[in-house]
Amino acid sequence: MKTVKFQADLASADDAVLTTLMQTLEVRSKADFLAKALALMNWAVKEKKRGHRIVTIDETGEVIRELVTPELERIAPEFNLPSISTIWTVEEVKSIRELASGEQPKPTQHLIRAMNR
Amino acid sequence: MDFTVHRIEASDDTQDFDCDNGQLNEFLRKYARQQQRQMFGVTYVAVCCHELPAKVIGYFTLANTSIPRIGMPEELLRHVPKYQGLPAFLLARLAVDKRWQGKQIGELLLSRCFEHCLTIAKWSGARYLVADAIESAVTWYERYNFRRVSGGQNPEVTKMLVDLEVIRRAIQQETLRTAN
Repeated sequence: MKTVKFQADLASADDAVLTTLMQTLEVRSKADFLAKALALMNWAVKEKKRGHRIVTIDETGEVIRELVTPELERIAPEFNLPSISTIWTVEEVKSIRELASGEQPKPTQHLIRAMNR
Repeated sequence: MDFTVHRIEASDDTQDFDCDNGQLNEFLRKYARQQQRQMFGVTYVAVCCHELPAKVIGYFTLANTSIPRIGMPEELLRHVPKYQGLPAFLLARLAVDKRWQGKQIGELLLSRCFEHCLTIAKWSGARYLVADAIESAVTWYERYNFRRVSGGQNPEVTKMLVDLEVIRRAIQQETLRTAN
């Protein structure tokens, strides 16, 4: 894998935090730590883009704390969909009316699997 | 192998994408980003994690549309404003690279599409998702609760419909099953 050199100045207090975190997480190198931190931040950004909140929950499922940072709050959800006009024939309208009437079908096994992957 | 799905970006590599359908290939390579900028459709791509540049192995394009009010049964229209069209989502395209077909990438894309629709529906309201399906894909869509809308004029494309309530029930059903 192609790699890129990375150098950063850290405050000594942050360096101490870094050392403690590396010990706690049993991460051997700073490069490895950076890669893991990057993956975590990348995940957080993706979740915000999907319109989700990032929270901690206790064992009963109750929300304890929400992660809020100015940077993450700037991420707009990617849901600004444009609108497209669909042309429906009279027969299609009749068909939709039939499909939407009455009880809806049960979710198929494929659908249940897809929504829980 | 892990995959992620995100809104198409300039850095996503679309040049090698080949789903065996010229129109769908061309759309991704030439028009997906352009249409996104112009707000005519938002394209989400599946890429392999850890691969740079991110090669696109599948995609779908989503937009808002509407369903004619007269197509809805009366029991659903009680207390609904008298708009001529009721809001819905349009899954305009969904394609998987032929080298990745049979690996459930299509299912992954569809599940993301459903998730997006449910999330957006919470914010702005919409009950149905309409898909424009090519004939060979109709059976595949039916596996995921889409139902064929008959009477269309375009012989190459079949409109299909799924109620987002059914998607929501699929999630609840699995949650209940795992809780038990």
